[in-house]
Amino acid sequence: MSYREPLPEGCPPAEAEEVNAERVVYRLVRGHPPGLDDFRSQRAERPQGVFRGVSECLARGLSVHSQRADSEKTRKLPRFKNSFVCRLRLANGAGRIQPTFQPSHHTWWPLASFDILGHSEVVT
Amino acid sequence: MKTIRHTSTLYYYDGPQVFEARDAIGGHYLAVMIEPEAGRERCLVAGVEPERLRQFRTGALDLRTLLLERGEPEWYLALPNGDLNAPLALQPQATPLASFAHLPDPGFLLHDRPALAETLREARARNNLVMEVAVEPPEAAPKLRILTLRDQRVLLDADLARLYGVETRSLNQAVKRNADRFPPEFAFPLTRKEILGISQTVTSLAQLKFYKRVQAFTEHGSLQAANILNTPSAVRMSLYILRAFMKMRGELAENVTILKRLAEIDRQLLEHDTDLRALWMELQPLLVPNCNQ
Repeated sequence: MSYREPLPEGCPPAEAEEVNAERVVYRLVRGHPPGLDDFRSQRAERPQGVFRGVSECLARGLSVHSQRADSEKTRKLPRFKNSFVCRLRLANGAGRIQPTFQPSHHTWWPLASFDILGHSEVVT
Repeated sequence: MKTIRHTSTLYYYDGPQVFEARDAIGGHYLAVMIEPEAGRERCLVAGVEPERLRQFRTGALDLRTLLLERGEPEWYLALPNGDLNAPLALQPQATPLASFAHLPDPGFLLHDRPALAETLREARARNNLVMEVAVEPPEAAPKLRILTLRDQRVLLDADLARLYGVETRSLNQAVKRNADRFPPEFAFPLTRKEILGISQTVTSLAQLKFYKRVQAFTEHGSLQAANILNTPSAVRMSLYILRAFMKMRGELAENVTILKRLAEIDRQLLEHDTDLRALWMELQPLLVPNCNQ
């Protein structure tokens, strides 16, 4: 399996669940419609960054919420005021996903073969 | 120049977005990431009182309110440079960073939880919907069933009529004839929704749903009804009702004390939950593979 971004060994962790059925998650995006730039990890955004409290594996994943309300709440933060809430219909072959940090927040490691834009739609 | 150090991340989304920090002498700060400028990460930093910070951590205080309503008016800007391990130099700013655009919108609570007052109101409504008051009843008197409706303690017309030894229809007719003596705070008809709600939640009143019209009487309404009926039985029973309402008020006062204590325990639990969550966020990187750092 090949992921969208090179991952360290043992990443995604064994606890991460493989997406093998349709499930809906939400992500904040800048573009309307979203572009592939909206699905870049922290590591891709800041190649030299040192992320305190965040492992390299998490830094190479994407933040998503399982609850739309939590994405809406995140938009209240100054950094995301100009963002849109994008609904992603993950399906078999989307990659692996794991609950991380606060409730409803997940880290998603997408597979290179998964058509992200074909499964995304701005909802707010 | 004053510097701070990141101590714990409070909200994470593609990186820490809201985090706590301390200065060299232990002062508390809250930092919120804002839009980068010329590709540089930036965060808005404000000194906060520990108690207010605790309120924010437990979901009792909104982020914007926390930042705007502070004892000390200073605002700072910090440029993390991608490394939150390093000390962050604080650059004093005009209040608040020249415009409010950099502040979070109202309504950002770290934890979504109902307000304490609302929790207490709900708990009271659930606990006190029906209270069967144990006052020594006069001979052959039925048990008194007091309900809480529209934040008032009431008796239903059928119960009151039984106590006064008349038919429900007769009681309601007497009330109708003396409508000017029964303002809404004395007696009021129940809505269909209220009737269905009672019949679904109070087993002994399940049959209530078959009644089209049900009248509720408050303590004063019950006494007024005894006055207009003016039968020896009604006068005798009205004393019984008065005593029951008095006893019930005493019991409710004790109940409120218990509810307040429960709310306090709930608050403490939430605080512990927040602390455990912070600990978990610090531990997480140690549990997930970390090869390239």
